[in-house]
Formats: sequence, C-alpha cells, structure tokens
Amino acid sequence: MVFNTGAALLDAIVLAVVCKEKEGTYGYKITQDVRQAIEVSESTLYPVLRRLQKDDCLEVYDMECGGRNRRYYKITDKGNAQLQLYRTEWVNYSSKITTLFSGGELA
Amino acid sequence: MRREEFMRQLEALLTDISEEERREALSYYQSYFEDAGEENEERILKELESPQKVAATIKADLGMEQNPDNGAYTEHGYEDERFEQKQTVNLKKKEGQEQKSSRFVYDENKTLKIILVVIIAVLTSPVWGGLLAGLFGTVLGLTVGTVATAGALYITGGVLFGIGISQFAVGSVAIGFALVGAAMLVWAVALLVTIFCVWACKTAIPWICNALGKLWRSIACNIGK
Repeated sequence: MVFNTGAALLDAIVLAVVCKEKEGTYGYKITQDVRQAIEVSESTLYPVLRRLQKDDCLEVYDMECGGRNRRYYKITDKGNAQLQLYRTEWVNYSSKITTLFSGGELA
Repeated sequence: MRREEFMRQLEALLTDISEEERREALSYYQSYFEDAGEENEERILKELESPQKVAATIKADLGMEQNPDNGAYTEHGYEDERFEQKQTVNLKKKEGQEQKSSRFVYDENKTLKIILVVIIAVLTSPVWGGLLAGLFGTVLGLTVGTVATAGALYITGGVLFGIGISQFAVGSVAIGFALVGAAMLVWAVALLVTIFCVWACKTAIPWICNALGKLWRSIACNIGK
C-alpha cells in the first residue's frame, strides 16, 4: 500500500468493522477484519480502540469464553453518529479524488 | 522470544504509565495471543517486532512520547523512524528534498503568472471597468425603481381609499364603493411588488453574488494552473 492511512480514516475503518457485529466483537477479530481492507500490523489497533473507548464511541464488556474473560467492543450511539459523519465525508472526499484521477473537472 | 517473555518485558516497559492504562494494555495483548491461538503465536510475535515498539505505540497515544515528531500513524501502525533501518530513512530524506525544490520552482512560476494577470487587468481596465459600472448602475436602477413603484402604489391606494370614504359621507355611495375597490386592487399590486422585493433581497441577490464568486474562483483556479 503506497498511501498512508491517517488516524481519522483508521478510526472510521475500526468503527465500521465493530458496527457490523451487533453483539460486539473482540481485538483479535477486529484486527483480522480490518486486514481484509488495509494492511495493519498487530500493534496498530490497541491505541485506536482505547481512544475510541475513551471518546465514548465504543463501549466494552467482558464475557466468559472458554474458561477465561474476553473483552468485547460494541459501538455506541455516539460511535454510530461519528461513523455516519465519516461515511459522508469519505464519499465526498473519495469521489473528488476519483474525478481528479480520471481527468474529470471538479464542479 | 516466547510470548511469556514478551508480556513480561512489556509490563516492565509500561511501569511509568497509570495502573489502569497498564492493566488495559496488558489484558488486551494477553487475550490477543489467546484468541489468535498457539499456531499464530510466532507470526504475531514477529509482527509486533519488539516489546519496546509496542510500548512506544501505547505511550504515544497517551501523549507520553517525548518527541511526537518521531512517528506517525500509517497502515503499518504507529511507525517510528528510529525503528526503521538506516537506508529507508536516508531514502525518505532524499525524496523530501526533491519535493521541496520542485515546489519552489512551481511557486516562482505562479508568482510570475499573477504579476502578468495584474498587468493585463490594469491595461484592460477601461473595458471591464465600464462593463462593471454599467452592471452596477442597472442593478441599482432596478432596485430603486422597484422600491419607488411599490411606494407610489401604496400612496395611490391610500389616496383612492380616502376619497372613497369621503364619497360615502358627502357624495354617491356607488362612487365610494368603486373608489374603495380600486384602492384595494392597487394595494394588492403594491403587496405583490413588495413580496418580489423581499424575494430578490433574500434569494436572487445572494445567488448572483455566489455565481460571481464561483466565476472568480474558476478564473483564479485557471490562472493557478
């Protein structure tokens, strides 16, 4: 990948991945899901998840799974609103870049 | 390095952050390894590179990193040039220098173009100055004309109404009714003109200003090219 993924885009991708799981999802799975779209290293997502949790965009709860506690992340209403904002901004941004790259004129 | 060793070193590196943050981070990586399963352990250890790098990533986000210029978010995670190989760093610096010099040339070209455009604008000012003055005069004339028309219609309506009422008292009732009716009609037209004025001020004028702004921007944009 030649393009860097900025902090906002990374937040948006993580919110989109967590949003898909109604019952919540966990760190390892989130990393694997994000990796279907962009290359991220295993250490990338912890700070992102922690920050989103502090910003009340994600909530966490622990659930027992196979004799141990697993931490689940779930999207909050605020997180959903934030994701909606990111979606709109992304459509705007990506369509402009696409137009530019294909040699079109911006309105 | 084994997973237990990795976790032990990470814990030691995180002693200078708050108890809560340390517990959160350690439990995250603990369950990360558990969820990944033993078969993935080696791959993950390799990708995490070192406990030092993971600790730096965690601290950077807590605003603890002393020099925030050292790293940035990339698709490979929080990247720090100090952890890159020397050759990569050198390559990056060279690219930066090239970019800087080409940008400088571009800026010079742009300044020249702007000077040229200003000279042309001054030389042709009699033409577009006249046009602009004409346009301004037309808009001003139309505005004053419309407002004056509305005012005149209101006054006419008022006069007709007054005469009509006085006809009820002294003259014929029929003429009185006719005049009051005429006054109402005139006022109706005056109201229509007023509504048009309000619409023009609220909608049409901002729209024209916007269109002019767009035109100016596209001209400026083409000059920039």
